[in-house]
Amino acid sequence: MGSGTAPGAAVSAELGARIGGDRLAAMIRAGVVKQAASAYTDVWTRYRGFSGLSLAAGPNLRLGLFEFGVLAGGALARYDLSYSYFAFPYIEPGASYRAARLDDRFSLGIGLSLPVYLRADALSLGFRAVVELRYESPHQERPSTPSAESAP
Amino acid sequence: MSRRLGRGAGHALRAAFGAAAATLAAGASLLACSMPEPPNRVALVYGVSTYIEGGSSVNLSLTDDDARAMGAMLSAKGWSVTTRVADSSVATTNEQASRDRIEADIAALAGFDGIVLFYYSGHGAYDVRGESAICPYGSIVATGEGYFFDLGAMITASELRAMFEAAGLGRVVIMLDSCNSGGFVAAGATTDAIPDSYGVYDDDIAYTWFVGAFGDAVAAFSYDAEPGYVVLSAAGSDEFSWESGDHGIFTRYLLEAGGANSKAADRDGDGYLSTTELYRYALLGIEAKWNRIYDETPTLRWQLYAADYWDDYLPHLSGTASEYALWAVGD
Repeated sequence: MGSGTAPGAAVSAELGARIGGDRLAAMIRAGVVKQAASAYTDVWTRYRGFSGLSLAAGPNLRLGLFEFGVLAGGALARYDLSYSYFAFPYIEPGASYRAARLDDRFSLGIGLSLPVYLRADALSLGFRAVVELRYESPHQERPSTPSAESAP
Repeated sequence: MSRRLGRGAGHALRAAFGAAAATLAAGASLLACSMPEPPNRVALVYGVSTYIEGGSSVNLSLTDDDARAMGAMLSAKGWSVTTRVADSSVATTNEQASRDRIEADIAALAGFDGIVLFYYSGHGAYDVRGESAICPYGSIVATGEGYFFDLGAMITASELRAMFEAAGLGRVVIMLDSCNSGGFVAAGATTDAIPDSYGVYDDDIAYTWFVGAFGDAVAAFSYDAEPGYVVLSAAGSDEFSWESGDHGIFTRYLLEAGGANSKAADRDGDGYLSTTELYRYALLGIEAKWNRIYDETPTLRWQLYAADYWDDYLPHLSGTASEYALWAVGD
């Protein structure tokens, strides 16, 4: 089974923050992930399902309505129906598109990412369809020079 | 995201908070609904109740029944079963469940490309060449006044593994209803929250909080996992395994999961029982029944103050990334 492949499905929910400039920023995300057991192979083996917590961070580039980023982090998970815990690093490049503006602060994004779970005894590759609800904090301009009104 | 997004880049501190819900690989779950035809499945089933002919306190009562019932159940589920039992008053008959016979049976499967299930019910031992071991017939030998242990006739965890490897068998499910059998279970790249000795006066399940497992889980990260060997043990490496009623407690639940309660054991409802589901069913059964015997039977509590109280115990499962389907539910 170690060299075998099998399709599977997963779902996750995450909370993240984008901190930095308008164009280039840092993204940090934490969430929960649930990966179902894979399909059975011809020899009636499959990869076990698991659920866990994830935390990742990485650079994020915004170009117009598009965002591109790479997240790197780790996850702590437990195999379903057991008491076996395991940890693994992962990377997840991805891109998203601001599909709709809901109001001044909220917008809706959609995107795709390619999570790679670097597990000790199994390599999980996939693509993830992402739906984002984004909240933008109020713009805080930092005065760079004293205003004319306050000048002596 | 605000309309001010394009202004003042580099001079503004801003944070965009988002909640993301993601799904992966639409259609993949549909693939999971299609179950391939059953592969070749062979089961080697051993039960040793008679170690010393003519009667001895070291003999067991139900392990022969365990093996026969497991053999019959597996056969009904489509496995090609070889059942060997030591419960006779004739030594040459009992030798069919000896170490040599077990080794020969495994070796005879060389070249087999399906799933091999190895089941054993009998005595187990600890610290045999530094490992847990099973005690086939011939490993406990009568003397004039009693018996002694022939350690060389026992099979340790690594020796059993080596037998399968020597035969080139890479898809192996091992089920052991014996004391100290947890020593056969490799955690692989995981950390097992169930201690080697669990219950009453021993340790409890570790990690009250999920994140409490983080340190041990990181430490367990390794590429030395054994993907093809899945072991279900009745007990931890420091525990006894018990028998009562008609069968070993652990085996009783294996049989239930292969019989009347197979649908209840099929936790994901896909119609097939996996090694993990079987383990879970046995674990919950032992925890709910055996491990609560003192809670539910107050008149037995005096035994807790005696040296021979019935220990709590819990099954263990390999920490492999993969699992096997064993049989279809309801066949």
